[in-house]
Amino acid sequence: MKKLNAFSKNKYSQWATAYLFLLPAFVLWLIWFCMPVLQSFGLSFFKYNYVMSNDNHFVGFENYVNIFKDKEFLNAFVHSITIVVFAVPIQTFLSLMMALLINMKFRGRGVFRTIFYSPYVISPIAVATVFMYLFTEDQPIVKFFTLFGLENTSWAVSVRYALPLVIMMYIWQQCGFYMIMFLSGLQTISPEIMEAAEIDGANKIQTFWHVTFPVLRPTTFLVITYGVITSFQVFDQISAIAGQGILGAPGNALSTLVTYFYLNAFKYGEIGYGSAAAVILFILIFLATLLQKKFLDKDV
Amino acid sequence: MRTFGKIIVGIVLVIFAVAFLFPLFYTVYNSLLPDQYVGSLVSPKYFTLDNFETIFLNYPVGQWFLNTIIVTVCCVVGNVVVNCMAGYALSRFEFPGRNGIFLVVLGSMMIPFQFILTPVYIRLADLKWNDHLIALIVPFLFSCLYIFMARQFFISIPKDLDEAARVDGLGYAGIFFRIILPNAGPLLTSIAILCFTGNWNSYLAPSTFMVTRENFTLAVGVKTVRDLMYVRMNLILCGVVILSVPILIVFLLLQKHFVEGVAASGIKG
Repeated sequence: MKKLNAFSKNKYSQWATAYLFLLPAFVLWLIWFCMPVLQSFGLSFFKYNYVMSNDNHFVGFENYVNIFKDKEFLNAFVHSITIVVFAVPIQTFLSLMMALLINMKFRGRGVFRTIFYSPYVISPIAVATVFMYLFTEDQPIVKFFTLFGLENTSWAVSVRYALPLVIMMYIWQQCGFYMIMFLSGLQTISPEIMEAAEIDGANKIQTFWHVTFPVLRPTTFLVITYGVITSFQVFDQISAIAGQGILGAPGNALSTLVTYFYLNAFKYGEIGYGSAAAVILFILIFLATLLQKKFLDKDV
Repeated sequence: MRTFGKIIVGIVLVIFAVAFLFPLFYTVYNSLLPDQYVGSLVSPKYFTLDNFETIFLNYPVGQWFLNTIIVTVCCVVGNVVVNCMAGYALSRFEFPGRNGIFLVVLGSMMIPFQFILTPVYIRLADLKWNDHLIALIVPFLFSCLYIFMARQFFISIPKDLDEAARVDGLGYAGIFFRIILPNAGPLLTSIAILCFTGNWNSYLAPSTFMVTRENFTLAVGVKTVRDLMYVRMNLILCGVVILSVPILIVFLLLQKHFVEGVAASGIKG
């Protein structure tokens, strides 16, 4: 039964108000989101060049066929997957650890929380620039890594080390954000449950596994989903490392699905072809999200 | 054993803190060094602001700063108003299509911005808006993520508040602007911070839409200077400081509300 309240006195005036409140968002969404989305799908079936527009015509699935024939696309695909596969588990693990540490009641925890979060608010361009200088030949950090058998070289210009450098700076920047998400998840655990577990003689690891972790499941799902979606989209750092060179430099070591799309659409002007690449990126993100929903989110 | 555990925790925390703070110190330290001392450890008495002077004199940094502030402020104000109104409607009113609209909001959150970059660029070019600041404002005045956050937050505010205001004779708009919004502090600050950092640091859209140097935002400008002058590390890190310090200050001022906001507004799901 519906409760009578201030909002059910007059049905039609309520409808009108609701639509009025939604109108600004709806208009903006329609013009700057919905129509572009449809256009992107549509353009992917055309040969479309914005500058030389006399040769624009429908080509069906030709763009998609050509993309899958392109070795550069495969290369970009592998790099994108590499970033996701390394960045997401590492940042999820680190941010969970940071959240668990901060969640312990000690003086000054607020300071640590602020320190851990602050990289997230800084521009990726700034972060990439600093990391490039830090990982230059003969710098202390590079020398430190030579202890583990790595070369003493400038990472950003090395075909072998550029991708690990991007993954590292990306994780460094993102951890704090996911830590906050885990922290707010941890705050939903009532102290009574923890006490009860302690009285029952559970040790720290058992408590974590049987009490903390189940409560954090929805948060973990969100952290991983969001992590996959965003790490597929890394762009600024790669653009910073390329500098004035071609996006994806050094020597295509950093080409990803996003740079592949960007180069084709904006540098070579092949908007139709680029849109097809963007559609593939979208489908991948969509599939990844569905997969996670199936495996991680069974009972939510 | 307990003290041993505490020491381990302390060490881990300090290692993390150093890993997070070192790049920040390195940046500020080097930005203050004159050319001849770059890369070496010297006493603070050699520190100089010459690099800041050089960068301000040779590049339109002031203009970039102004552009970034205009874009950011417009987007923050617009996003707060537009998305809170939509979120409020979805949380409070019963109307046909409500669930459908909410599903559309959720679905839109999954589509990456890159996916719509080209059509948006084409539309801006058709409107002759590209290379104008308006191109960085109008398409970015709403966000399905913030609508979702607003809806979750308003659901948690009891309807009694609205009813009391209704009894006092306020209309729907009055209730929203005079009662609901002033009581939505954590929501407003989290949207404001997310939107502020997002726009301040935004690079993909401004670098694509802006052509003339004077129309750049700070992030694009600093990137351009960096590409040209990469070997002058102290100068470039100066640019990094100019780009990063304002946003860090804003964050430090608002961070307490922000962390509450994340917890309150249901980003956590």
